[in-house]
Amino acid sequence: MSNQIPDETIEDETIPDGERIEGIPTRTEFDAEVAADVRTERRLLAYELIALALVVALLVVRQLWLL
Amino acid sequence: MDLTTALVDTFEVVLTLLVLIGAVPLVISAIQFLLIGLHGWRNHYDRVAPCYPRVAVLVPAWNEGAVIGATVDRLLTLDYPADRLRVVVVDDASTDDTPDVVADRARRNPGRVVHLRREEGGQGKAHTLNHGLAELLSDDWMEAVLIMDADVIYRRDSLRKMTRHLADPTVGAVTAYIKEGSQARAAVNRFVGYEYITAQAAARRSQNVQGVMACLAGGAQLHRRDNLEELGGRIDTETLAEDTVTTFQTQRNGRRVVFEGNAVVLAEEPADVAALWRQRLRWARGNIAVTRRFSDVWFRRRREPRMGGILFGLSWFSILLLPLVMIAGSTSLLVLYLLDPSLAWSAFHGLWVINLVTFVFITAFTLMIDPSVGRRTVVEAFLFPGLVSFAIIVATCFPALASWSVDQVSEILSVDRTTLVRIVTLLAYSWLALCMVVAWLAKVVAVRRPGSRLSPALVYVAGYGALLCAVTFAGYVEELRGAEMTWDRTVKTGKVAVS
Repeated sequence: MSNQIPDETIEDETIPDGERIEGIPTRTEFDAEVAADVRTERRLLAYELIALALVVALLVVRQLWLL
Repeated sequence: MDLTTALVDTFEVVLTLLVLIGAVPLVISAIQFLLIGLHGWRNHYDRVAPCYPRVAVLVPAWNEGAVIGATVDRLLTLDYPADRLRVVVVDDASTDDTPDVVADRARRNPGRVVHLRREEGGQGKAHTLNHGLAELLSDDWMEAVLIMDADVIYRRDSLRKMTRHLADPTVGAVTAYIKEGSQARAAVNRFVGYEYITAQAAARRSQNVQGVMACLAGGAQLHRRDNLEELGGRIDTETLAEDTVTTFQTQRNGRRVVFEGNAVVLAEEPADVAALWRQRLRWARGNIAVTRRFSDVWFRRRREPRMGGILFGLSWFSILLLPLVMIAGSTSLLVLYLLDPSLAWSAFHGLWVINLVTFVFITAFTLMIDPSVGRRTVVEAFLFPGLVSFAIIVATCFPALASWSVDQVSEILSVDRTTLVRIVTLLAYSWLALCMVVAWLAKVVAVRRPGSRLSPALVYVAGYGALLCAVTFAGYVEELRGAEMTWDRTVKTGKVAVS
């Protein structure tokens, strides 16, 4: 998705460190959680490449079988 | 070349194309899966921020006594500021102990659990939701509403993972990853578990990349208040696919709809073919109605930059028209067989080579997207197209193996090899259409003899995909004959296990 909206329109409701609420992450924890989720998403590319590699391997085996 | 030969040649080309069109839905699906790899970069995470609007969780409930208590209790333990979360249960004139259970929770959690009751119910989920929405919009407490089903269980962090996207004011609604949560051993549950990785975790990530969403999951749709007000403050009641209508209208109003794959929600899905058929028939009829209602959207990118995209349109119609494509493919193969058997074989082989490649890619990738579900649904993943189609895929991959098998069967049954090959060929050519008939028989058996093991066995033979196609075909028939729209509720028993 594109960044058409300037950053200042983002509504940031960071919980100040001194007002910790049970179960609600601080800004640092929030950023770490988002970074972890992004890493999870980026890992999907590796899975995709593995799946494509499996297809190529299968086609190679098939060709060898047909020879 | 005389005119007759030219006509026959042209006819053969048309038939060959009709066969090869059978590969289009899988190719479109494979393209969608290829886009998932981009989701790590093309997503909405660069627009998220801590955001905790006052959320009213709207739970429609009709005779949900088995599940509603646990659902409300679980909602109250979500990682979310307690003063910004309110659970509103709309009891749709339940006749079981639902009112007592909800009233008890409301008494024990004053201000946090609200019990609304409709004295006359049974009109369907959309009417029940509208009763609650009217109440919620009558004052200004609610800043966002989470619409869910009475049986779904949210992981503790799911709601706040969804609300972080509302920090971006262009987002109208957010949906989560609904997983089959009963973890039951029933074949249908396992098929649905696998299906939901492809239809939710995979397809919706791909739609995030495309910037367009086909449907907010009914059990997990978070709307900002503005969005609901722009929708007229109510959910559509004219179709059986109110979730899809809401999704389309939100995007048509220029709002984004975002899928949050890391917000996990567990739902109980039908455990037998008859219940699944009723649920999916409702969805299929709803989707046909949505296709007609938004007829000015498809393939019109200038008018509808999000929903008018070519890939989005192709993927929508490839699912909707798949039964017709399969029937056309089988019919064309059989006619080609009569006209030119070698051409029929080439077309059939070409179709299944494409199917082989896309099937292996999609299945392997899907199993890795959600390994926890993938591990317990490996068999269903490989048998998603059914035993017969799986055998055709293996035979396409290793023709010598197929030839050896035919030799063995010919010997065991003492049948002439040529005759056997002819029978197998005709069966294989017919299978694209025939599998839907076998899948339909699975439903017939399930309705007439509840608990019979024959029904799931037929699904394994025909394929879960064929079952979904048969339901879609039944949806065409119901719409054509103008059958009454009825809300067949899926019975929930509280089997969802939090993992």
